[in-house]
Amino acid sequence: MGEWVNGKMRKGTDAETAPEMTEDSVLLGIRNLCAAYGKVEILHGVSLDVRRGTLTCIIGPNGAGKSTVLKSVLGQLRVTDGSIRFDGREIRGRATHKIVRDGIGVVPQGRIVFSEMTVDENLDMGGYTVEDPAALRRARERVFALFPRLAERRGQRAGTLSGGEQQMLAMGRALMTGPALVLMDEPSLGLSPLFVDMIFEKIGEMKRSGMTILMVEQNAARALAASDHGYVLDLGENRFDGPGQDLLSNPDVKRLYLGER
Amino acid sequence: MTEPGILQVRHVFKAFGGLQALSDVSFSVPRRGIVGLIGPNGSGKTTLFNAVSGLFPPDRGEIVLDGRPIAGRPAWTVARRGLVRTFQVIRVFGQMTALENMLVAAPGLDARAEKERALALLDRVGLSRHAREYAADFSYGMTKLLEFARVLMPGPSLVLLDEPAAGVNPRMRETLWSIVRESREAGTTFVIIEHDMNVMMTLCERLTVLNYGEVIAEGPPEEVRRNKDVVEAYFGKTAERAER
Repeated sequence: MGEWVNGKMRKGTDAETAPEMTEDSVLLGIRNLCAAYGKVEILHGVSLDVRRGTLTCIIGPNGAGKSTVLKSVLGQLRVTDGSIRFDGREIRGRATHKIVRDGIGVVPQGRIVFSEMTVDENLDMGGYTVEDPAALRRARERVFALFPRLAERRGQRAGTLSGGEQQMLAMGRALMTGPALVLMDEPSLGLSPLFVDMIFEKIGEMKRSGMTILMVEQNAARALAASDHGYVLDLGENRFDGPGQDLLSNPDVKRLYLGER
Repeated sequence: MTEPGILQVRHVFKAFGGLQALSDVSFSVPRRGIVGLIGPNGSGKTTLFNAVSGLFPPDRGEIVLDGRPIAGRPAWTVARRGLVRTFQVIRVFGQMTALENMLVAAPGLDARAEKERALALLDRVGLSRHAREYAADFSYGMTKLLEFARVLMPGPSLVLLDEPAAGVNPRMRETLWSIVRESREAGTTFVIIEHDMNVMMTLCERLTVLNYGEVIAEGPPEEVRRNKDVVEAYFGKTAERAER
């Protein structure tokens, strides 16, 4: 586990025992990312790696810049410095629609679905960039295999689904392009306990099926417990990172970010 | 005889087209109490808040605030009688600063006292650094905190909180719940929608559980947690974990 000070990994942490990061094992690599909304700089040099086939989470206080990292990867705001490499290629400055075609799917914050459209139509929207009808059909089958509930409700208007079902639909829609990397912004937000359990189970299934996931969560303890690796951001900078379980048991992380004493 | 309570909801019905969103809902809120409203997503919790706070009239039923009927009264009338609320889907004025958002809800003190009160509340929720930034530039969680601070600005007698902690960092959540407890000590009554059962068990004196627009359980949290219908409809495995 590492503690970060002034944008650098502090010496004396177990950096030497960290697994070797090769270009191959890292699907998304972010280095010294600075990003701003208008004149207000939110990220002041954030670095993180998402390794292939892993679930990585970002936790931290409100306004730490967690969602901003996701928006930067998606090319939705002004990145002022740093590098974002996806699958070995620089994507900083690339247009959002091209990034989606490159293989990044997104599940937005607040389970945003097209409420006047049916479940099927929402999935069609997710697969908008897929030209091969056979690929689209396979993608839909995969989504229904992961979320059988969506198959049962495929003709139903999304606005009439329960909150948990809408979140599943938002996830399914992101999977229609068959993305290598899925970005999820607070998947458990506002869901009842029953559905929080279900959503975390589904995220686990997505990972086991080979997907790589980068997730932002305020349900921090739950997210760390499920994650291979976690990053703690605070005030737009790295504060800690390490295996989810290590962060979960770290006294400083507990006290400062998990609300435990 | 016990005091009738600050709010009574009696036999309230509300339908949207063919969907019966509230069906014969009755519950009562004791003065200076903290009452929790729980239930699955889509069970009618927010609809109940909307009816009580005057966003729309119920189809049938009575809502009594401080001994006066308010069902069907417009939201601004209800607010002036001391009942205010937050929204699950946050509503702040994006083109105003955080401080200006607070002052919009000011209780009508002199300008300096209002500003001091606004800044003190913003400080409590960790937003004093951002008091002069536009709310549109705030993250989701920061906006939730701003809305929470703003609802306390007028010194209300009854506050309805719709998932105030969703999207708020765990540490700040504790602060938020402490502010609720302190405000209650100072005389404010709260009705809270919140999914974190650990919080609801310790914070609330009573819980009302909705499912498909009907009250399926009501009582002290310990009792409600053991209710079989509630476990099935709402808790799932969380209840099993809590039992262990």
